[in-house]
Amino acid sequence: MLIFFLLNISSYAQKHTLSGYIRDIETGEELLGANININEIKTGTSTNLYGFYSLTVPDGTYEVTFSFIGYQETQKTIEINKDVNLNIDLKSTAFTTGEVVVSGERNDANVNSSRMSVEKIAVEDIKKLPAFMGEVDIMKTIQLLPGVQAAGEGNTGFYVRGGGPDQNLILLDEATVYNASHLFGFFSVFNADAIKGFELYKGGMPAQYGGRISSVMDISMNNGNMKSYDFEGGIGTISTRLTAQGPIVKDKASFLISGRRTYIDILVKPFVNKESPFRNSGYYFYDANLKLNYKFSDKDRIYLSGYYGKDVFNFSSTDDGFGMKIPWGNGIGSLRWNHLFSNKFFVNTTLLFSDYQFQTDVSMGSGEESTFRLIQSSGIRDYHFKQDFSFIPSPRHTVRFGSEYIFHRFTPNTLQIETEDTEVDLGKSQQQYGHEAAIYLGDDFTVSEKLTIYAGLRASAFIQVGEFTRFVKDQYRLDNIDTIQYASGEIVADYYSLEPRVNVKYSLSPTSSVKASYMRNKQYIHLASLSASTLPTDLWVPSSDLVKPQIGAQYSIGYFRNFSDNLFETSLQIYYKNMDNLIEYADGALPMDQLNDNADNYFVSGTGQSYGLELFIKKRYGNLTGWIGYTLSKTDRQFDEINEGEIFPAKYDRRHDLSLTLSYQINEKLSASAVFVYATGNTTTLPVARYSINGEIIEEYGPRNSYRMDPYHRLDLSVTWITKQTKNWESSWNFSIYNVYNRKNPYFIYFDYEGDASDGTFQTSAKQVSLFPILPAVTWNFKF
Amino acid sequence: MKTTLKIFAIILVSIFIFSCETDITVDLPTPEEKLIVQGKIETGENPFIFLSRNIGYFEPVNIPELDDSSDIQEIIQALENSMGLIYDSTIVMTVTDGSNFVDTLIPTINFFEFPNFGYQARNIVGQEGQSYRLDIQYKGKDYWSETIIPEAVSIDSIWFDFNEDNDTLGTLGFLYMDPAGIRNFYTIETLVVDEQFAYNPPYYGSYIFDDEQLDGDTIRYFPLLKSYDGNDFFQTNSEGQNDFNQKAFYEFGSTVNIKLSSVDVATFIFWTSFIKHLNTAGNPFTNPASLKSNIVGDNCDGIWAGYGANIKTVTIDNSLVRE
Repeated sequence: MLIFFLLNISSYAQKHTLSGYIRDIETGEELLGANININEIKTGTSTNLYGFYSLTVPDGTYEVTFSFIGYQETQKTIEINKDVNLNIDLKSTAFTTGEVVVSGERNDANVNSSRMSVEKIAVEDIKKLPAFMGEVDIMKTIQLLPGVQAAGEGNTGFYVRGGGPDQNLILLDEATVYNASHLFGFFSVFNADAIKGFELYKGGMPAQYGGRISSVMDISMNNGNMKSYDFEGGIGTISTRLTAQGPIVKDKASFLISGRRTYIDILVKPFVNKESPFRNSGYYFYDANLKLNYKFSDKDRIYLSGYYGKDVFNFSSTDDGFGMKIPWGNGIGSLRWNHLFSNKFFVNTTLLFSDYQFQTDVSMGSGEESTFRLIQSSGIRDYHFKQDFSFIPSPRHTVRFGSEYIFHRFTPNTLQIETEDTEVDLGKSQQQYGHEAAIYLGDDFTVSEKLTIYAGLRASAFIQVGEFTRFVKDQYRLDNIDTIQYASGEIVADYYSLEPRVNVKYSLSPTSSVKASYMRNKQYIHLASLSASTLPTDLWVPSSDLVKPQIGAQYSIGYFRNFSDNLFETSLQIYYKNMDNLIEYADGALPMDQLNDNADNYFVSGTGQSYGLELFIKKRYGNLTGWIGYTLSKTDRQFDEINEGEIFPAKYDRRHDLSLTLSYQINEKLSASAVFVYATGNTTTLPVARYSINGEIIEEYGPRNSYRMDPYHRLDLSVTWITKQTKNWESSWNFSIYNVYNRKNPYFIYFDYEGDASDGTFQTSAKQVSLFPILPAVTWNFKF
Repeated sequence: MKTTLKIFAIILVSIFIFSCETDITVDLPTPEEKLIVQGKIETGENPFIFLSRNIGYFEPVNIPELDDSSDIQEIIQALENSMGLIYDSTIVMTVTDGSNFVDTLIPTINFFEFPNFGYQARNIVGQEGQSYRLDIQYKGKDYWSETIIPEAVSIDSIWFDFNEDNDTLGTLGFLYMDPAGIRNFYTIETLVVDEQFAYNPPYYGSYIFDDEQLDGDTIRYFPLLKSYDGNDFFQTNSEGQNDFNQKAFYEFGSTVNIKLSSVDVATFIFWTSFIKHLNTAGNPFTNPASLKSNIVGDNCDGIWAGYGANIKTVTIDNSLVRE
């Protein structure tokens, strides 16, 4: 690392810096990843997450090109003999040419950047793709990328390169989102109208990201229009949404507010018999995004972002007074302050809050006079502070360093019982607390025109502190043989780690390069899942005296090549990843209430590895755009206490995974798109034999995940029709068809018994349950 | 947690009313043969063992009914085919007691047990506080296990509660003192005299329980339902549902034997895992719990358990009825 700084000794005579923001002229919204190029000296850069750029060049007069896909290019002649601050407003071309662009990346960025395994898709393009039940979802779109797999039919959960769903760091305006799903995973919490863009790191993640071993999904919310008021919304098959944005003080402060709610429960209500004992049952979810930002000057800016969303499942029967309410959801907030020390030195200071809660509230007895109430809750809450510095000492170096600190509060499972006259809270003492901290430094160093090296190092620490009671179990996990009390603030367990990351790019030609990357990360928090799919009941737990931090190491190498003047972008990547200290529930563990017990007493730990090959071909512009992603991969696990210690395939081990995405602009008003996916069937564990004990049938299961279900494949189509488009009013319809040829994809297999053993008619049959048949959806969108 | 999970499974499937089901054929690998041992030794009784093996998941099941005209050989053959019964006089099986006395088990038809065809030793009689080792040689392989008969705990009092709006049927209850300072594990079985032949666990309710929260306290067990005959497991359309009352509740006037047994920790763990297995097997949203057997050997399952049994006999009359 030091070497890079030493190399940063100026070899040029006199240099100055050109810096500023690049924005949308209409909305004042900063553009992320816009390009600044000076052709004379073959140098350039792009804007960061805040739309800021900085380029240091030898003194002189240059023709500088500012460009961003989907915007009109601007050229300016600039004389640089002192530091120049220049903000550029670009005009969107969307209205004029109708050209569809798959990615907002600059030309050859995929080939020239040292970054590897990073994916981006413009939100505008996502909105054109077929949407499941009419809900545009960025999480479903990223599953179409190579190396990324869906957690299940219609599920927004994802697996990256054989890693578990808890190994993905999902950030919304830098705040961690712990459960990014609504409705058991069928919809994500991200309302596409409020989203500006995202980046997904499948590997080679820079040092500023940490805490997860598989991937980082960094999502940015729109800032809000600085120039004029804007309203956008839609009425869809299952939900309605509305977004409003505009200036509070023109060019200085703006706001964005966005909301969404499903309405199946409301639509169904008039049809439910008023006398029905279940009339108060229902299900809905809603979410809201809020963003405020204030620009003090070109040097200081403050952002406030918030997200709140909730799913509520209600079941009540007036007959017997049994009621159950299951609410769960996330609350997220972030306050950020961008400050420019100079045009080469940029700091972002952030305060973050993130909260995920899950509850089951069961009551007996009629109405308000419930005689018995049982509330079970679990969740995680974070208070997070982060300071990130960007320093661009010369065009050849981009240095980022900083620190972060998180205070975690885990609620593994608490129980509260209320009866007529007593209230028992069995939970408080079972919360767990952890301090997580890291410092990091990374440098993106252009060694020569051909060679670029990114090197980063992250030093991280995790300390679990009291108040905490450790219940020590006997060999059968049956009785407590000891208890250890930790006072408030007392250290229960502490872990420290150095996490290196290196990416190397070597250009073979202006349009082709070879890249390699290595990273080693630690993850201090774990998601324990009792189920074979991801559910909101899954529990976040800290590393503790029993649970060691997860360790991930990934090696990847890739070849990148662009053809026909950037019309086609292609890449081929190979990766190998190994993971240690993964956790699972022990065989037969059914932790009930954590009373005199700890959740992690029921975990077993093991290792995993995965390797694969990813092929990606993208057509970037023209009337027909789209991509093909293909992944050939294998991922398996080994736990001493599971599957008799034998290696078994991970539940999301898929040999082949193919995604094809096409968008076609028929004319200015009409576009069509199609998505086709094919994946090797999921693994599952099935019984192979049975025997009888005490007259009951005992099912003898085959090796873990040894059975593979039928392959999954599906075609979705959609048409977007702009019915009216003026400067002040835009209205469009989106017609989507999910699973066009009605493929019955396996969701799970179960066995059914029929007949009677005593007359010889007893029979066992296998049934496959498929979730979604062909499903059309219509959404009407408007904007004014 | 488990219920929540189950509820989710129900919601998942019910919300998505679109979901559909198709009959499929799954190609399951042929399983390796597994030896299943169900053995027990009870206070005052000879050791008794059932042996069986696993059978393919899709094999038909046909349990013949036993009556006077049945040919024993035919019945054995049918049980072998359908339930994997192993009833073979060439199997060498012994029980060794604490004083190293070795007793050999021989095939025995026992009408007081299900499925009637097991192996019994004639000399060893179960005694509290003694440990017993079981050895089996089957198809050239050795299997063994060891258990202990813990001290029995006796029932102090028994009562009867009529079902609501019913003056003939009801449930029993009993209480006893848990011995302080010792970890105790219990099983409960009942038998209605002149109606049932074998002791079995109650129709609903705990068969196995322990004193984790109640060490040294008075333990009350209620409602105690009638025992389950264990014969109609393969009946999915059983009339059992119709005469549930007759099967699950005690009739006023009948004479009932209640057997409270003390068991060791391995037996407790086995039956607990057995119940967990029944709750998780077949649920596609969970990983099935496996049985935690105390039989040692290659590819086997089951239990060798000692029962420190205490039996109380009561006739349900007015003196037992609680207010």
